[in-house]
Amino acid sequence: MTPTALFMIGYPIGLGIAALGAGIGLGRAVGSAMEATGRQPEASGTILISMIVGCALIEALAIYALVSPFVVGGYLTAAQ
Amino acid sequence: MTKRMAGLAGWRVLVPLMAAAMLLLSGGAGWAAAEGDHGHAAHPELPNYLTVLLATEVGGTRIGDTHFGHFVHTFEKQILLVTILVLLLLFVWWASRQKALIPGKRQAAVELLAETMYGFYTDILGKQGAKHVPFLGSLFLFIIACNLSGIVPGLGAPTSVFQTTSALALIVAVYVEVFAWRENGIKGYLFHAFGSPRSIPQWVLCPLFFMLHWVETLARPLSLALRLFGNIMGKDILIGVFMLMGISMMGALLKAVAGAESAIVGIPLQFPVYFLALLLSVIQAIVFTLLTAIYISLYQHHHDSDDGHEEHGHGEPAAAH
Repeated sequence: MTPTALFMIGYPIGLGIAALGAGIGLGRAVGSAMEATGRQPEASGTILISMIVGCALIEALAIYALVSPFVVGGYLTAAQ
Repeated sequence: MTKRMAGLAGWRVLVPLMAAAMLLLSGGAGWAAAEGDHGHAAHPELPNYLTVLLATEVGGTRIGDTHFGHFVHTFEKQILLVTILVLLLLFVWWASRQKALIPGKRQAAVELLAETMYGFYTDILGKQGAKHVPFLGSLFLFIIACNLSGIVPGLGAPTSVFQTTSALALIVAVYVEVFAWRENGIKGYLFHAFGSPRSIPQWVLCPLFFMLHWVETLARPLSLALRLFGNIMGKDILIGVFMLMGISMMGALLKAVAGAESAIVGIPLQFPVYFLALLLSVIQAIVFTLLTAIYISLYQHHHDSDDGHEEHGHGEPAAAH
């Protein structure tokens, strides 16, 4: 198996696993944000901002998995 | 006179100079990478005025094939960055023209923006953090202008290449470290780097904290750069792929209906993606500057042990645990 073929197989699988983790984390974050809003609806603005920021941080982990193969793949195509 | 000249050599000159130096360096890195291997797969994205310029023919030769064309193609995103910078400076100059006591519409809108940003960052940094608001505010405006330029027809997002975002993250890293040194002194900074040991178990774990501190100092700006780059590049690729799909779909439609070869305009399939792109661009700019503010607040003196005046919980930085 050529390195490119392995890369092409591994990249989507890795991305899927990262998206799985991000999905679980985001679900928990948004869930607790909704719960907190239910407890105190007048704080919903603050809770929304905190939730958006938390979601961006969790999302970033999945984006690392999306983006780093672009860097690796560049070296791969250069090496062949 | 001397105070004015001392102010000239202060933050407000050094930071843009640093920024310019790092952005130029990052452009050089992009040039080196492009010269090194031409095997980079160009990902689909919307055309901007530079690609149109490169595609025009002057006297029989495409501008893109000339030496000037190669230069523009390599530094495309950096030229776009300078363009956006010039446009942003013009906008800021236009927005800050009136300074009446009773504001008109333009001044009221600008003051709303400025006060919202001031309130947002002083919530995290406290009253003593008001000196960071110009830096954070201009960083925010610059990043949001760069991100949204990916959607503006004729412009492209400079933050969709890793060079630009890593330059921005470098600027933030240097700013935070220099602020930490100036605020705490060298001894205070090292004390913080060793994890602020106050009891015997903490003194034993000192070296571990020291290594962790340097890893953190490297990883935090890197995560900032990767997050912004990944989001904006992903958004650009998404828009580009949908646009290509729209063009091919229109081509198939025209072929079936009128027998034409290919389409000039495509079905605007990328339009729904624009809403997601707007949301993401704004949120990523907010998150970048918010995280910068949090990193700054970690190095600030916390005034909760002051016996001079009572600082209620509002003044405490949100991230201080």
